[in-house]
Formats: sequence, C-alpha cells, structure tokens
Amino acid sequence: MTRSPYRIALELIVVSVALSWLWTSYGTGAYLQFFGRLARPFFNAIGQDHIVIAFRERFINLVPFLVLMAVTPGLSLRRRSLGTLLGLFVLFCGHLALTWLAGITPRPGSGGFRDNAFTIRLIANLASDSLPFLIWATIAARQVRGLAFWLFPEFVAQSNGDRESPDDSA
Amino acid sequence: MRTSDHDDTDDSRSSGRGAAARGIWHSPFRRFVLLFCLYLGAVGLAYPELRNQAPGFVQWASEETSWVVYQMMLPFTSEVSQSGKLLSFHSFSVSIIEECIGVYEMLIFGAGVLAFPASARSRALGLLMGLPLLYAINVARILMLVVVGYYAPEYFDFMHLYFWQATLILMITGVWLLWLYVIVRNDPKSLPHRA
Repeated sequence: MTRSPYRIALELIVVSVALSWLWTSYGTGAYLQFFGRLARPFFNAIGQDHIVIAFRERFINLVPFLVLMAVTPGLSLRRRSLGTLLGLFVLFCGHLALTWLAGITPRPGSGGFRDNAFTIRLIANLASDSLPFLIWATIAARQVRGLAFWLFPEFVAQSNGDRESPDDSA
Repeated sequence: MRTSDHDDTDDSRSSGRGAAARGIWHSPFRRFVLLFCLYLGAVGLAYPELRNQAPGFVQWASEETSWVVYQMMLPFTSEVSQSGKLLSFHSFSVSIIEECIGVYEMLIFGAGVLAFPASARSRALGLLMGLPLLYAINVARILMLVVVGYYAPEYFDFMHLYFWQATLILMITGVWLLWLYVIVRNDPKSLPHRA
C-alpha cells in the first residue's frame, strides 16, 4: 500500500517539528559533549591540538537527514536503520571537517576583504547544507527513482528497458 | 612475461576504472549528484567573487530585504519601523544579515537546476521562477519570525532554527520539484523526453 503525498507531507512536518524541538531543547548540549569526546582525540592524533571544539549551528543538519530517513516510504527496516547509522557517521565526519576548517581558516574579513576564508567557509557551509539530502538520496535511490517515474514515466521506462514498473520501485 | 602480466593487470585495472567512470556518467542519478557537487563548488567560488566585484551587494541586499518586510507589515500595523538592516516591531528588533537574505538557498537551488539534464530554456525559466520564489519564502520566514519574536519570544530561537536549517533542504527541494513538475515535464526539449 502506498502512502498519499499529503500524509507524507504531514509526517514531514510533524517529525521535523518534533526533532527540531528535541534538538534545541536537549540535542545541542548532548551532541556537543559526544562530539567533543570523539573529536578531541582525533584532532590530537593528527597533530591539530589547537583546534577549538565548539558548537556550530550547522550541526543541525542531522535533523533534516533523520527526518527524511524516518518518513521515506518503502525503505526496508534494514536499509532504513543501517542507512541512518551510515548517514549519521558521514555527517559526523562532515562536522569534524567543518570544525577543522574553522580552526585553520582565519575569520572572514580578518585578512582583508579579498581573502580566501570566506570562500572556504561558504563552500563548506553549502556542502554541509546539501549533504543530508545527498546522503538520503543515495540511500533511498529506489524511492528517488520512484519519484522520477512519477515525473517522467516515459524516460524511466525507456532507460530501464521497461523492466520495472512504477510499483516495483515505489 | 612478468612485465606482460603487469601490463595486463594495469590494462584491466584501467579499463575497470574507465568502466566505473562510464557507469557513473551513464547513470542519470549518479551523473546528477556528480554535476550537482561540481556546480555547487562553482557557485561557491563565483559568489565570493561577486561580493568582491560589488562590495556593497550584501549591505544593499540586507537593507532591501529589511525594507520589503517592513513594507509588507506596514498595512497591518503602525508599530513597525526600519532603518538600514534593522527592523523593529514594537520593542522587538532584528538585524538582517547575509544568511537571512536567502542567498545560500539560492546557490544550492541554482546548482540543482544547472545539474539537471533540462534544456537551456527550462534552466533559465527555473532560475527566473525559483530564485524569486525562494526570496519570497525567505521574506515570509522573516516576517513570521518578527511577529513570533514580539508575541512569543520564548519560541523565537526554536522557530528561527526550525525555519532556517531544519526546513532549508525541504524548501529548496520543494521549489526544485515544482520546477521539474511545472516546467521541465512540459518542455519537449528537455533530456528526459528525448531519451
């Protein structure tokens, strides 16, 4: 049985509000503690002891990823749980990279207006904002293809040699 | 013999790598992800250059956004004022900064539109339709935050975070899907229809 788009939209709203509330109420402190415990030995091991571990607003990219993984219809329990763990690990690595970049680049503007710090941080922030969606789309590739079926049925049917029906990939 | 084996192995490895690269390129989904990352890097490099070429751009865009929100609130209340980037509603004030003008959302959306195999016309229409729409959503977001900031300040931080990062991807994806549904789907020159 397929879920209606309205139900999926409602689930998106409810789950994203609930997770965002949990994140702002308890998640930020708990995650910073967890992140610090793992990040400090990592930075020490690679000789970057000077990196300051602080909470960054973009750590919230865990929330949209969890929301997408929770509400995507048609994912098996195994794929949903393993994919969520893998995605969280990748996002954690992204947070390490963000923290490291913030530590090695000067604050934007400190080296004059034409410095590279702004560019580096901008690209890091854009990547950080897009990463949850890209990880989700990779894990839920079958469901994304189902969406493509809905948008471009002729194209997907031809490119798959008519081997799959929309129901198979939904 | 040993050299020949070595060459064979190298050949098979390089042909394997070539097949893998072709596999990525021939899969529309993987190609889109690859191009999206490339375009994201490109717009990430281009935007700072725009800031350098037009140093007053961010200041101008922030002040204009503040003015637009002010103009939208004005018919409903006289308790609103605006000065530069600062917007005040009763005793509650916000300063519109670069991240508030929706430019990051526009850059990600732009990369998504450019990476999709659509015709040049569809892409141009996508940017012409999508960027103002994202800006309008962003203005509505600021307007709502200003009202919440005055009437329910205890919820301001949550709402600010929720309607920024938590829904950012969903907002961009929504506008991008709307572009696919309304424009690309009805454009016979776009790649999905030609295949």
